[in-house]
Amino acid sequence: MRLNGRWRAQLAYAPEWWMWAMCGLAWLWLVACAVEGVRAAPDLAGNFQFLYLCGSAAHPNGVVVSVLRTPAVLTGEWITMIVAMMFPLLTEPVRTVAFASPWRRRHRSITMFLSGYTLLWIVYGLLPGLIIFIRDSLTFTHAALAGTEVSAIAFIIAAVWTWAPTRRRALVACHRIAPLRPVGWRADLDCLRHGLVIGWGCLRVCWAPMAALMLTRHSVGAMAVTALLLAYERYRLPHKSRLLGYAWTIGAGWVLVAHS
Amino acid sequence: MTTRTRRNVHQLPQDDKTLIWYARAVAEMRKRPATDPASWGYQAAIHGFEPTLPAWQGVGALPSLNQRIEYWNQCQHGSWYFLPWHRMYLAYFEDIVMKTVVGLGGPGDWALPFWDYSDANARALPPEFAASTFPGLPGANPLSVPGRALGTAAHKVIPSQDVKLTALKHRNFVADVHGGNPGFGGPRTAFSHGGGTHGLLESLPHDIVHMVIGGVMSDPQTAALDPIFWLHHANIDRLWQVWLNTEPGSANPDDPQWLNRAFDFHSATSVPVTLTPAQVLDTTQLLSGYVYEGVGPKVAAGPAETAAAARMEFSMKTSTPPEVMAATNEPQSLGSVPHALKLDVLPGNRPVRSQFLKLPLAAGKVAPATEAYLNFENIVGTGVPPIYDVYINLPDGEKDPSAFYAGSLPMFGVAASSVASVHQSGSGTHYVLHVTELLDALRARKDWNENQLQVTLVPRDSLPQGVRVSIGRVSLYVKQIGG
Repeated sequence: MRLNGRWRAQLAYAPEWWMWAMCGLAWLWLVACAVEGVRAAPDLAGNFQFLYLCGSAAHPNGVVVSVLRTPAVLTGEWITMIVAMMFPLLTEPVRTVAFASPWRRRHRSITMFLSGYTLLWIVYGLLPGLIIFIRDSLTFTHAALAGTEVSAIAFIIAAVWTWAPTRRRALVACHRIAPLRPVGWRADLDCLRHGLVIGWGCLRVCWAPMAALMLTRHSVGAMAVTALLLAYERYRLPHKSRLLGYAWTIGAGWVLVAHS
Repeated sequence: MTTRTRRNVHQLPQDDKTLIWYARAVAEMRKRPATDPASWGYQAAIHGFEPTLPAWQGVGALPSLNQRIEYWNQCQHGSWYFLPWHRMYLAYFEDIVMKTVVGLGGPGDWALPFWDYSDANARALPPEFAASTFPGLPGANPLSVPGRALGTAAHKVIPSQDVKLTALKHRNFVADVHGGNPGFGGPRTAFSHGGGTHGLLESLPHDIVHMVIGGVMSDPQTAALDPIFWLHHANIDRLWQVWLNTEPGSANPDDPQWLNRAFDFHSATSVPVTLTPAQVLDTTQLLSGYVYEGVGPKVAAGPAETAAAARMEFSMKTSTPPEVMAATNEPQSLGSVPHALKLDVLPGNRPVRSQFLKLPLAAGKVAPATEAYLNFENIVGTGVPPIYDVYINLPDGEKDPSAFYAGSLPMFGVAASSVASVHQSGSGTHYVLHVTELLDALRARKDWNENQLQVTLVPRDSLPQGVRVSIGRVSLYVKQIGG
């Protein structure tokens, strides 16, 4: 079915549409995994606050049981989190990359950009991933105690980081643009490099809350709230706003209360 | 309070006291420490501040670091906030000057004049700003600052090409996507202190007039130290109103992101305040209220004007995005001599390519029409580069290059926009020249090469010692209008 002129024009103005489709699929997969986790613990049926993900568990009879997750599984979950939570922040740089490229290679340019961006986050995710793997390798009691305090501290760090001038500089750097060569392998390289540069800026803004989430036995709900807050900051909040600092502070309190 | 009238500085009556009170107020404000929001230094630093620059040497004690981050280096450039932010800035400055004038025994209805340099008889610096002394005032003229280029033997008046009001013919306030029409008011952005794509009015005449005047005016980090800055921006603000009142279909954005973005200032009593663009759309309701001499109410356009304006309009409902047709592969470093570069047309583009190459771009008989934009992306550098005039397919030794003239690159704020900070990304500046009619004319020539264009950048002055400037990419975008 051929789209009419108006829809084609609007789609042409939104070359990032398939990135948003990937985000949607990532969220669907995350929710599906969490629901599957609840099915594995029948006494939690319908209790969505326990839809845990990274490093987590069912709660048979209120006792926390840690599940050992392999590095491959953790990496897969981490990439899915990046696609679900970080890609929605990239509308502006992705559109700029697309429109800076010839029409026939716009999607290739976007792909190279997103690859560079994701690669940087994968590298960053190795450290908290290692912490989770070590933590999950401990006995379940130790894991339960270590997870709560570490997670709360991570959210406090995220809150304090909101006030750092370095973070504001990084937030402004998210709007950086680059001269992209138009064709050939050089164009691919430029898009990949630009993805790394934007990824670095994004990392400096979001590293703290993402690490806090990774270290927390967080629910899909917590992920969604974090993603919404980051997107709200990117697209709606004045650059001087400290709203996220207060939000992460509340997050630290939630971790201590919910997991005590 | 009665709404004040901002008047044309070149048409003030002989016995008018506006400028002498302005001069007295400037002298008084310069006595105040830079920690005082009502001081000359503080007001100038709101626009831009860089302590290492000579113009800021001896500024004295500074406000706290936090106050400097929150209130200084706030000017909006390369952004749809360019016009409303400067309107707010001028309004509070005018209030501070008026309060100072009253304190010195002057009238309570003092209003900032504007400098209409597009008037052929008004392209010289107003003499009250050039003289070394001001009649009736002791000592040096407070309105005169050293280092200006305008008014010297080599630059007696602003060139007519630098004060053309072609921006007023474009009806869209907000820019198209990357590479296309930069819009009358500029692109949609977040907080944008420097860099990015400059809108049509910001590029011409705003940026170029800054550079032609020269001295501290040629750098956004020092520009507001020059008393002529405020008259220049009063004119830019006036042109915004002229555009709204005379361009068929012109309108401010109704996007809440534009209307409700808050910016921080200090009032005339040094109280922290905030304003949003929504609060400055009606100048009669802004602070003490003002109107511009000679700017009448909005008039309905005739059929001819409406048809001409419609041709310049782009509509996202029926058009396609602009597409890059040709671009350079390497950064271009500019110097003190003309720099020629070749733009190779990219292979295998959409059908718009064949129309661009084979048919007149602006042909009214052939639909859809096509617009062409020459982009200069990621312009970075150090110091204050000269203005570069841009020509397309300029033959060697051509005696009358005007037929090949595409526009000028002002290079205003290039150095500041090249540095990443809490206020800007460091990507450099981006200029867009509308070249549809020029390319139409060039395609009629025998030497037209449909696969290659040559762009020549000619500096108006030599590059000063230690100054560098380079362009990340030069690109040609083409866009179908309608269909």
